[in-house]
Amino acid sequence: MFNLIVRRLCGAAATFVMATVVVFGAAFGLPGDPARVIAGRRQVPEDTLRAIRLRYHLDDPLPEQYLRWMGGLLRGDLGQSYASRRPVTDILLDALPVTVKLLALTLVIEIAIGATLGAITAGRRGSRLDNGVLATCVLALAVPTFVVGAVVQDFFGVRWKLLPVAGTSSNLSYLLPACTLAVTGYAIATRLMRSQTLAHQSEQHVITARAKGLSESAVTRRHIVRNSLVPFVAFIGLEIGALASGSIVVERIFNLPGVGGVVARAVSQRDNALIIGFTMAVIATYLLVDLLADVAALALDPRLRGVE
Amino acid sequence: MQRHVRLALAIPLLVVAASCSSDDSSSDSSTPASTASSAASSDSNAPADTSATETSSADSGATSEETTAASAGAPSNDVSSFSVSISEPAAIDPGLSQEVEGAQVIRLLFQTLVSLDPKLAVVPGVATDWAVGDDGLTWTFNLSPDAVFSDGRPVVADDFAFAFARAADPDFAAPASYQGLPIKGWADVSGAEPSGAIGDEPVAGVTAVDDHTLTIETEAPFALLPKVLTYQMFSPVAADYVDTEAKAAAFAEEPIGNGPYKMSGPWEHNVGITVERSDTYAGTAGVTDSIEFRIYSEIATAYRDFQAGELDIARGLPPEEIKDAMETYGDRLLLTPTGALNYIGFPTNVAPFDNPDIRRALSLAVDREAIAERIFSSTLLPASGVVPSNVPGALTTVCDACTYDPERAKALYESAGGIPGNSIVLYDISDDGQAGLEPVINSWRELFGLDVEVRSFEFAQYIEETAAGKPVGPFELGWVWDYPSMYSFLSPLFESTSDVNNFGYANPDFDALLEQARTAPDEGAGLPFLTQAQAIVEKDLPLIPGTFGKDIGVVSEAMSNVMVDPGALWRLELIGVKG
Repeated sequence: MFNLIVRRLCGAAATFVMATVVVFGAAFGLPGDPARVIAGRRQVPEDTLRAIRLRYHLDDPLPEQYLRWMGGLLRGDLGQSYASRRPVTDILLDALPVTVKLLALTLVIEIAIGATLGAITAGRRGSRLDNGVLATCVLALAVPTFVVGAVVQDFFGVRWKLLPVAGTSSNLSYLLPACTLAVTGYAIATRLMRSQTLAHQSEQHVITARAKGLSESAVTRRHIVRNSLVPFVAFIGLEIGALASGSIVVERIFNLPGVGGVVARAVSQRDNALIIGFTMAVIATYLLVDLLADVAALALDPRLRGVE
Repeated sequence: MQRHVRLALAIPLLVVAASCSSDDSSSDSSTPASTASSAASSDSNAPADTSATETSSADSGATSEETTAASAGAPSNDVSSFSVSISEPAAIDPGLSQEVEGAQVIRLLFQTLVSLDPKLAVVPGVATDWAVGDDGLTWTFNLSPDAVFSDGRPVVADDFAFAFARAADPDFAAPASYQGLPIKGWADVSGAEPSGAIGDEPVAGVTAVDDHTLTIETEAPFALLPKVLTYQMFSPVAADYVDTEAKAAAFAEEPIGNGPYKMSGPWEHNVGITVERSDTYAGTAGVTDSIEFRIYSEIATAYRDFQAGELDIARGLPPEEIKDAMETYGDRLLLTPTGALNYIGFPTNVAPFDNPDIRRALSLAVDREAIAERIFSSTLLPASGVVPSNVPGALTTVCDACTYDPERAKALYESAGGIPGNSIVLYDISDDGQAGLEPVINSWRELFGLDVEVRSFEFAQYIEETAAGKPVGPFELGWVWDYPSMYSFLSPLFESTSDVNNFGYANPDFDALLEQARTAPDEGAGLPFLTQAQAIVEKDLPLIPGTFGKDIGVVSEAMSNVMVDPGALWRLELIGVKG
């Protein structure tokens, strides 16, 4: 098991380095001169541009900029944002907790509701409830996030004044965005749990457990639900990636100062330092979560441990 | 099937409602209503300004949510405050600022040598008086001995000399550095190789004679210098506020200024900036104790917060909401003409656009009134010429080729020989999408049978595109003045020597008139030359004037004396909160 983890870790490191090259190339490959963007939406004389290019090393060859950036990375320095001149790590540390909070709450909401509804509807196949939940899942997948966001803002914030419309003034502020973001994942989680539960109900070990005379609740808890949750570990790993991109929209709508909003602005401002720093942070997080998901799967499913 | 669909619509809302409300009760004991924090933050102590003319609170169309907003935030202490939306500023260090969002904050924190009153006339700032020598080159500013920074330290002439050296320094790379170019020695500093230290190279023309006397020498006579010096980049900065990298970084987050307000804490990026009245400010004190800037990434979100009663001033409105907002808020919706021009420019040195008659014909085919009214719901004004008519001295009559006259357009187009191939490329560079361009394109197609291919570009991209000498066509762009003067339109846009003249336009008569305006004994004396120069440009028409800008925003009922100046700057220091 230890070897397996080390192997996966090396693989993740190699993927990360390759990703730095790709991200660097892509960021600098975008059309438009960052110096002009830094100067604002205004045409400025050449001297001003020259000073900006010197200040940000924009005239240096790309490989040189890449090596400087990698050198900085080893010292924990991701460079300085073009637009705000703040250290990228500072911006990241400001934004990360917001996004982590949002994503964590979203995951809790979608899994809590999804797993519960999935398990319940599996037990009542074909019932009205089952069909109704199926319909909500189809709808949840079909309606775009920004529509859901605008609707919940309008009802819960503007009309009923139950929750803050936007911002992060209290922990309550995270509820509407998390609910909005959870809509898609809710549908997937529900369907996943339902099909898993159904599949496990006729498994031999479940039949054996029943034959041994275990109570139905113990069978469900120990043999069906536990096994049905194994794929959820993989689901969380993948879902975090999906949520991270979904959060760009949600953070903008709800004015959360998280990673998504910063990245969206960085791209529109051609803030390469910020784009690269943030993209790499997201990739690193993703690789790490993926790794943890694998380890968690090993812990949950002893059969996998034999595979070397 | 029918039933399932309806059920499907109902359930997600229920699920969301259930999950939200359950979490809500567990995570926070306070009621959601109380989190509508500052809401109207009305306060009994606020000096009620009776001269409030800009906004009227009388609004018959008040909806229930507004009433709530006004009554909700019961005053809990004696501090008056209000909240206003901005987008994340590029900088609040005056040296690094180049846009209005940052300026909104900086104007409260800092005072320049000379200031602009709400009508944009030049008035004393830190300098109590100023004069230019007989040579028209050397300006002497007498500084008020009462001027102090918010930490109590006196503002001296050296603080200006240092701020200027810093803004000119290539190590600092100030985005608006070019503003200082009329000052003698500025170009030598900004054009030099970076030394590694910021502000180490003084600008030759700027001299601190003593603590309270500053002289500024210009390269050539320049009557408009005081107006240029109102730009936020020319705010005073004491050298030891920024003499180490760490201090400079802290200054960028929480600048120490000499204005009517000071920072209440560091800038919370993407969240907000709060300022409070500075006790050390010797000028007219700010009316409200504390002002909270809330940072929004979307205008639509700010507007929702305003509708929910959680924001007092929403600057900007989502275009699709403007009509409704006009009806709902009446007088509390503010539309202020600003110094902004949207236009379609021509490369006047490229055929067939080198023919003034072609340019005039294309301009006569544009129905500006219809565009401003129907496409932009009157949130823009039809342009009457190349300088917004609210700029002092600007021509207020509609220029000859700025009317909509299809007959004349057609005749002129034909007599000028038309455009070869009847097809052009139009570059769309502005932010506003193509809403304003479509009627123009349709009109050209109808009248001239002209085939228009639109290519959308980011501004930075377009500049590269044209700089590379590739084939060019007309382009949609805008211009906003740097300081409120006709000169700030005419010189950068049209002078043959200007770095940012994109039209390839050169007219010696025009250049001569601008030179006369610069060398006039004062700005007023130079004005007639600028007016004449405007007439020349409008005859040559290197661009098709489209619309003049307007600033738009809504304010809560608790606000009084709300004023937006034609520079699109909300005069927040004047706003009161009704008790």
